[in-house]
Amino acid sequence: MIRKTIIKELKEIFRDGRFKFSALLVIILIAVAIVIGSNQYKNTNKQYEISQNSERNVWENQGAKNPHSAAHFGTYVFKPKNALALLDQGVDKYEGISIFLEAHSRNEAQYSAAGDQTELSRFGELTSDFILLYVIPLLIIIIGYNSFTKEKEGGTYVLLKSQGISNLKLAIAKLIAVYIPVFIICSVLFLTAGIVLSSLSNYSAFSWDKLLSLYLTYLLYYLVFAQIVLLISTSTKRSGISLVSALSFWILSCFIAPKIAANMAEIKYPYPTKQEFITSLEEAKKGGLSGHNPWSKEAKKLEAKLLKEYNVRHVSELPFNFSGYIMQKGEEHEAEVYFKAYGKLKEQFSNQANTYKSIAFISPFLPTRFLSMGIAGTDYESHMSFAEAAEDYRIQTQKFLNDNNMNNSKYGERGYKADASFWKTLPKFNYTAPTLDVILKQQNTNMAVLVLWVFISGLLLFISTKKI
Amino acid sequence: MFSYNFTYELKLLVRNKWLPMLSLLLLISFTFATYNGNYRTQKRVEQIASIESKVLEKDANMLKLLDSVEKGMEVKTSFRRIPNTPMAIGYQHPRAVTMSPNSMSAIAIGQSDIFSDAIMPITVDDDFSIDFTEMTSSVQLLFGSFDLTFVIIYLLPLLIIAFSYNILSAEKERGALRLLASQPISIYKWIFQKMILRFFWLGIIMIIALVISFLISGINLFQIQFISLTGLILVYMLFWFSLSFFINLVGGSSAKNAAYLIGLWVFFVLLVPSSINQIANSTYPTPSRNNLVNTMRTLKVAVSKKQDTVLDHFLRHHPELVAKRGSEDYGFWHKYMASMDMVAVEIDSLFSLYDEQLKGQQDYVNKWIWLSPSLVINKEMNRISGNSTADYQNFKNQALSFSRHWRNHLIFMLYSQLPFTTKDYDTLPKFTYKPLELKGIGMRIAIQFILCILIGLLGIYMFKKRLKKGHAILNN
Repeated sequence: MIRKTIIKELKEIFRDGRFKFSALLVIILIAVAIVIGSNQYKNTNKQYEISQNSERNVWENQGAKNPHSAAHFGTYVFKPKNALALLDQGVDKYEGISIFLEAHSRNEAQYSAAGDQTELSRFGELTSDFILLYVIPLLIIIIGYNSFTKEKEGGTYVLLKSQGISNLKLAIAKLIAVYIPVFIICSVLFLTAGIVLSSLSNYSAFSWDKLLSLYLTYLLYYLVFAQIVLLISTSTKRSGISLVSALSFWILSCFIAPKIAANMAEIKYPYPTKQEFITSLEEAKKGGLSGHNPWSKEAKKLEAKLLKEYNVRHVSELPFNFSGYIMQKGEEHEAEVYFKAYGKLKEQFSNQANTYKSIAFISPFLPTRFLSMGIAGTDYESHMSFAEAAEDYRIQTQKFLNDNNMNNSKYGERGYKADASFWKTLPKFNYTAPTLDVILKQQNTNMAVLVLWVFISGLLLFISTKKI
Repeated sequence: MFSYNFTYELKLLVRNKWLPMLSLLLLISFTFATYNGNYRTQKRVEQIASIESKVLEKDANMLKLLDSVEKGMEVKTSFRRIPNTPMAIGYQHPRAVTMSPNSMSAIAIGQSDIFSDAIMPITVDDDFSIDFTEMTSSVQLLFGSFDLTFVIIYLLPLLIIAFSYNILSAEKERGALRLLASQPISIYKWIFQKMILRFFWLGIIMIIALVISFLISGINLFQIQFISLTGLILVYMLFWFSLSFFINLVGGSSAKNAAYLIGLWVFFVLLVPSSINQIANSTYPTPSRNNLVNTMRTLKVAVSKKQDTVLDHFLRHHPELVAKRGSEDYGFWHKYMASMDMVAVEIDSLFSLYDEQLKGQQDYVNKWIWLSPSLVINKEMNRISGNSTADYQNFKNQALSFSRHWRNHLIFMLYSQLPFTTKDYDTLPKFTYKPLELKGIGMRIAIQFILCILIGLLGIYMFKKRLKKGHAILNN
């Protein structure tokens, strides 16, 4: 009986003009999104390779120079594009793509794509995540809103019952029937994405495990929607009301809840403004050691300590160049200041993340959104992981340069220059994205919330079938 | 008949709790949205005030120190920090370059969460290094804010749809249409009256909710922009009512009508904007920023290798800066500023490409904006709030031009070998932001209004055509 019901439901769904139209629309949108996305990916990656090589070239060929001048000249690192960004762009367009690494300062990543676009880009783009997160749930609603109400309105419910099918079996059959078209579309989309991604060259960052986890995440998300749409259909008498209620749920969970969450997070745990952040950093740096100010109290203290330790009367008698030494110590102090300031920012973000999680009970969209961009490597955490790797590299580079100054020049020596070939010996910047298990560990709450949604909506559907 | 219809409709609305529910929903969402907008505006106002007061405080200390130096007193500050050279001023005492939010800023967050409205450029900053982005959590940028623009563009149409999708079909489904058909009124006139009444009531509720939410957030109601805003919202509401009128006339069952209207909502609010955006971005793609970085870096290396000729080259192009005392006095800063100038000249054309592409995108969007009234309303609300891309672009241009002016002012002093004295303080350039003019909103409203009438007329025409074909309204 379940099998027959499924076949009958599927026939009805595939015959329905609205389904045909919307499914076609979804397929066209997906095709457009994949074509645009993969082109964008190819260009970005090509440019990334070029930029990285060009910058390294600039660094290696800067000629004989004082290492500290080189430190101020600095170097740029570029953020690689993640393969799965093809399926979920996440916050990528709001984050900068290159970081300038220089002496004394930790710089923010610069040049987000959103900064170069019009305000219309805030309405959204035709990307895969837009289709996966917003459009396919809408398709589920169109397929399933009248699943039960049409039987009630057409009077066929009594006929069905006379065939001896239990309400539960009926609900299971209808759920499967509603789920099958979405399952097919989703599977085709992910398979296409997988093939496109694995065929593109230099796709080292692509892994099938991540793609599979992403696929499972969306299958769960759609299951929640299918269950809720059927739940609404069993609990209402008219198709019109059922449709409007299901749509209200869609709008509430996909559009309203995220925005409310964002505003609540901002009001409860505000970020500092850029100028506030800069000012607080300046304040924090002020009292401390600076390589450019050997006259400060802190510098004098350090000097006295060194003189005592090496048992000499003047810094020029030290076995290394004091200027290089104090430059490095100043750098370490500044790095510490930045570490603390960014630590606070990170803490504020994790508080905000908790606010999002607390709103997730009214919206299955939220845990899915976070899980999806987490796995795709396009969330805030992924960006932070890159920014932190860059900062570590900056600290290493500064030490590398200051050590050269310290060990090769004399105190008070003006015009010391490191050899032109020296720059080549600086190790290259290497960044590898976190692996899947690290990401899943980070995302365990979101996974739990999504699974909870599956169970609760299933349970409610089960209960509601008793009262049809 | 109109008065009967009016009383009947009002009774119906009050009895089935639609009106109180709608009022409550609108009031809550308007108030929350305005509160959010106002929260951001206040934060910006506070930031600007704090920056400006800090600059004043720093200036006062600087003047005191300068005064002591001028009087020949001994000061404890390290020589680099003594503000008696133009470069010390340019490096350590930047001006606050700010754009204060306007009186209607709370209605749209717009781009104010992406871009900063306060920068402090120093003399060593070039157009390339000044960062105009604000520090907002990227998740927040992704989700966007629950502001008045969102409520009006996304939610208000949905309320209108829920409020009017089944005017005719419900009567049909309830069987009351036969009774109505016996009355001396044509069906479309009857639907039209019902629509107008619903529009009238929702309009009144909307205005009351708007006034209350403004009062709660303490925003001034007595300004011309408030009237523009109300006009925009009303005409946007009318657009959705006219669509609903159309669907009621040509549609079928309640569920079908709801599906059609939601389809239209998805089309106008989601698909058209994102498609136009996508096409604009593909037609006017932003050149790679990484490429810009590479070019700038290569140039810097080239310039630094030509250090000895840089100064000569610079002075040849700026004869007004050649000091009377000869070139032997030129030091670090002279060379530094000269190299900066050389890089800036080279990179200028590449740099302006970004603004050109952005302008291309903006023009493209403006050309196609009429495809969706949601876009028109979004644009106009952003303009009224002063937080649109154009406003931030305007601020950016003014700020960059000020930054150049500031730099040139001090460079002139540097090359003229002039010290900075307390007397020079008053001649330092000051920044005042000039907002964009707000024009043409009335015109937009009028065009939208005509559009609504056309949709309504089209509905009536199609309905009459169906009647002529002998399509029985009561039976389908």
